[in-house]
Amino acid sequence: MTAAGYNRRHRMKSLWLRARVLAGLACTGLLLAWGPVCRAAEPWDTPATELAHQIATLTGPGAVSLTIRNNSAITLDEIPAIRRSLLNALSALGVTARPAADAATTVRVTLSQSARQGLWVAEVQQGPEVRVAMVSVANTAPATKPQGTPVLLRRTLLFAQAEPILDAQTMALPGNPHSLVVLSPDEIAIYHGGESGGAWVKGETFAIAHGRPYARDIRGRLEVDTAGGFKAYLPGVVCSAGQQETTAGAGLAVSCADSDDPWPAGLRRAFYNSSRNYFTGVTIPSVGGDAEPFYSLAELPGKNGAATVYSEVGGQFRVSDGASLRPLAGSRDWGSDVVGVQSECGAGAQLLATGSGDAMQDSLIAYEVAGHEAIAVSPPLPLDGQVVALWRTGEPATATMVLKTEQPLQYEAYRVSLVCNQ
Amino acid sequence: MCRWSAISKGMAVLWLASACTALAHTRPRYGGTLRVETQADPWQAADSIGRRLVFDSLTRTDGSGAVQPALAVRWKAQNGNHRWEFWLRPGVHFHDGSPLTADRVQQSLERSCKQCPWTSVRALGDSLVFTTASPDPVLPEELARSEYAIAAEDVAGNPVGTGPFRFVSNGNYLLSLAAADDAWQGRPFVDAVEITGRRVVRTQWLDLSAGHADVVDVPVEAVRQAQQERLNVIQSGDCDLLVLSVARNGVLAEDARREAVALAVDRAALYNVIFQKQGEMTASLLPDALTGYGFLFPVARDPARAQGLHGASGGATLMLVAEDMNAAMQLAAERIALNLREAGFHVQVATRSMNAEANGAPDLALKRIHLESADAQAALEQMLAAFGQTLTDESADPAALYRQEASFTQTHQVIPLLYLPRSYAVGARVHGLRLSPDGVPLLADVSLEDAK
Repeated sequence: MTAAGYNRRHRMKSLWLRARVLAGLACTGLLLAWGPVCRAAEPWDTPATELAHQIATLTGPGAVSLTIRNNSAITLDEIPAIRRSLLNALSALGVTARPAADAATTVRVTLSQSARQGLWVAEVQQGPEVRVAMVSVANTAPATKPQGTPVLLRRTLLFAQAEPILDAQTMALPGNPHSLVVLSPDEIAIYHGGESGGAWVKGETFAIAHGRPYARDIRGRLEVDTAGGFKAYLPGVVCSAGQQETTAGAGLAVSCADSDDPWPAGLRRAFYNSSRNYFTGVTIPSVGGDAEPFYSLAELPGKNGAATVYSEVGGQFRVSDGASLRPLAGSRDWGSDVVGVQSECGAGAQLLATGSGDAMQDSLIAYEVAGHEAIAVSPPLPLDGQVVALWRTGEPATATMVLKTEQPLQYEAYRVSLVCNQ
Repeated sequence: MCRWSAISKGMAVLWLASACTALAHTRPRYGGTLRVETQADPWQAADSIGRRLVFDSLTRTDGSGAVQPALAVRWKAQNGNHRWEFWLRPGVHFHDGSPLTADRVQQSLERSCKQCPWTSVRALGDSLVFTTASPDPVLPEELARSEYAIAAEDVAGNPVGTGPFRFVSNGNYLLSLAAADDAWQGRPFVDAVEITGRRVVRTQWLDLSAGHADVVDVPVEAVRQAQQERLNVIQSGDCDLLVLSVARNGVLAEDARREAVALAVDRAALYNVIFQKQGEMTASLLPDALTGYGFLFPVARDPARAQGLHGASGGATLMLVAEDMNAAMQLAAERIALNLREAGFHVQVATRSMNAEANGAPDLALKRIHLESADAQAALEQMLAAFGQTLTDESADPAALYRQEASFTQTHQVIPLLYLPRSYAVGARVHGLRLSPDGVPLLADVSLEDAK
């Protein structure tokens, strides 16, 4: 049995290409002899050919009755193409499909799948004896794609990976005006070239050394500066990145050190409890009133006056007008993360909050704060997983949202912005 | 292991309860004591819920069955998979503050090595070197199993590990654990876990309803009842194999007789009636969701052929024992005995104590085997080892695995019957409870709603 591929996207792509190349070469050779038969390669040609070889080895040339059943995630509309590929490959080996009444040999092909990959199994029955052939196939489950919805809240996928993403931001670096910084618990990775829709290409990576184990619900965020550098804040660790001149030219240098320096939080700085998953409540400058420990805050410097909303560890949401902290009405079913964005819409500043979904799928809603009440100003943006990070970016009109999806398990970083008049 | 089944059904964790409310995802809170009740002993077995919280292994398997670093950060095979070297994660400490060293890992593995796959293990600087008698391409997967978890003792003789919780006390089936603040994977959200073992299921459910327990057992045959009682049930994929072990002596020494037993058993009745349509029928050792070839093993019964193979003799009475004493297993044993009598066998269902008095191994033993490995090859190795067999082909190729599995099951020493999931009921204040790939609650990720 030969493995035709595995559940990796790039592998799948190479298989596809290989199948096309092989089929193309075969067609070139056949064209002169039997032009009308030549056709574009089907994606299933390679595994079908491999399975046909194994079947032919068991049956020898002659007539067989062939049945195909599907126990896998392959969609029904792909079955005819698979059947066609298999029949063509068998035919080339002298094995022809006939009705069951006309064939002494029965071949039952089951399109199955294991935990990791597709598995095509042929049961070849001649008399009472049943023999089995198998080929592994690149996983047939369709890849999960982010769903875009043309609503007031717009999200753009920046990057996705299986490892946790704490924050991700685009920035301009010397020589690379479109770069993406991805902050993970143990690494800062720089990617280049993906801003215009192309694939991000991994550039430099910098390991993050930390003296103590991180808390379980680890958080971290990036703060990009205008000089082509940035800071990465993690529990008990701060990394500083800046341009450095070397003999080879300008390059990025990153240094990390244990530190309890306050993190950027809205337009302020806030001290983070590095052994937990929240801010202590102490901010610079102070907002007035006694702040409780909080998960996040949103600053709304709107046309109707500034407001700061706190998502407190106790589950309450309170709003500060600079003089006092009061409970925020309309926040009953919010999640823990809020962020403020500025826009041309409405009051000029909106708060984004994860809304009531279910335990596995959040939604994102934009609110405006009037007095001590939050009023929804956008329909919910349905999400395919849980929001695990929601941070301001260097651009006031956007936020970074990190989504954790379960199938497949991965972390997706989005840029979220607000669109007026839609 | 359970995870694939769940994935194949389009869900990693299935919430069955009707009482599940829709809430936005909130960040986990720290604090509080999680109270767990279970039928089993919470500490005794290597894969018990308590030990899984205190000890870590060198490796772990993720939900897809892929092996991942744990206490070992990397490994390398040499000499044609006869020699493996595993490098330890730096900076890890046991709960008593002593460092995790290769010497201590070696000592732990030597203590736990009974039927272990290696012939020797030795410390070499910050690494461990394993040698095996035959090539072992799945040693990293095997080392993920809880029986090879790294355990030590402190000066007072208490068990210490490197897991998210540290051992506090264990007595009268009450196991107390406390959060390990410096756990290398991060401190758990709850401050403490109290696990009460040997608790009757009905009592567990009452405690849950009264708010005296947070996580309790739901036996697979009682899932529907739990739903009717509006308990919030979380269920894994299929990870427990219900299997009939057949002795190769006496009446059953002949292959045909054992095949007759296999053909006589009515899996559908077990599945539909006793186990309330939970899990799936199987005639293979590994679940179809893991291998993709499980359907090649037919599950249908054929009583006429069973009678034909059994023949007319069958004089001696076969002793059938359910190794697990719970009611569903006893009922299953009775049902199988009925099937076998229909095929012409004389069968007596015995309790374990009756069988012990009879002073011999039973002819037929109904067992429940927990499948811990999440990799098909390692899983097959684990299953074969449970019946005193070993892999004969080191290839991970599905066709090679199928051939070995078919070769063994065709001897009918073992008759796989059902793959069953594991289920738990969860209190309203519990957030973030997931199950491990083999159906064990991941309590380190749990937080409590009312924690302050």
